[in-house]
Amino acid sequence: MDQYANVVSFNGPLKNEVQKFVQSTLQRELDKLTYDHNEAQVKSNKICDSILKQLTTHNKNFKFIVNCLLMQKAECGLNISGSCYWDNDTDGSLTIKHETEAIIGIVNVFACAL
Amino acid sequence: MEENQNLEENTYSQEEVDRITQESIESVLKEVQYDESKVQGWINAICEKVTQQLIELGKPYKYIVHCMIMQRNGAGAFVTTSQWWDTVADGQIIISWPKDKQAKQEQQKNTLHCICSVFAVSMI
Repeated sequence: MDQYANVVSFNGPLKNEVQKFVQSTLQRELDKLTYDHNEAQVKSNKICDSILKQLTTHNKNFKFIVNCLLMQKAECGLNISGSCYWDNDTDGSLTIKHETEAIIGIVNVFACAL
Repeated sequence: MEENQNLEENTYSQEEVDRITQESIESVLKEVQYDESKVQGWINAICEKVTQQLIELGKPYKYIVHCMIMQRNGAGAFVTTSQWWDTVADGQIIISWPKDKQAKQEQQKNTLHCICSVFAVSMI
């Protein structure tokens, strides 16, 4: 990941690296977990903070926003959409979903170039 | 005097963004029931309306508008965000609709829940 420390555009190899470690973070945190209302708050904060920390230690050319949604698996509909006004060449976003038996976790990462 | 003017033009106003987001959500979702076929259209409409009005403010900011519509079914959900940015110049608004007071007053059985986050990232 250090090889991407000086990259200026989020789209490209940096995006793939970020995708890999977000997916592994979600897998590690959510597998074999049941939805608990009290713990979910702590869990989603932990996921957000750990992803943000990894992002910022590897690349300082961006401002990052990490958004995490943890939802109990139930018979309900869910729709999510995002709209961004930025510079398409340097800025970018990623959305990753991870489903287990009891929980659905969705993480959005937005990166704005400095 | 000039410095003060510049400051006002270059920082975004929390209340203004709050008002814009609330109005956009109200205008699209007032008195609707959750409908799978229409929800995609509503969510795009909210995102576009908010982004359009934010751009019209003319401030030197990049904007990210993130909207979530969930059917009200008793399932639990948590949304959190973390940011790495300039805490003085940048900011966010997260609006949850409808607010509980509103729902009780209108005595409407709300079948959906909307959470809209707006992030403003300074370009200077």
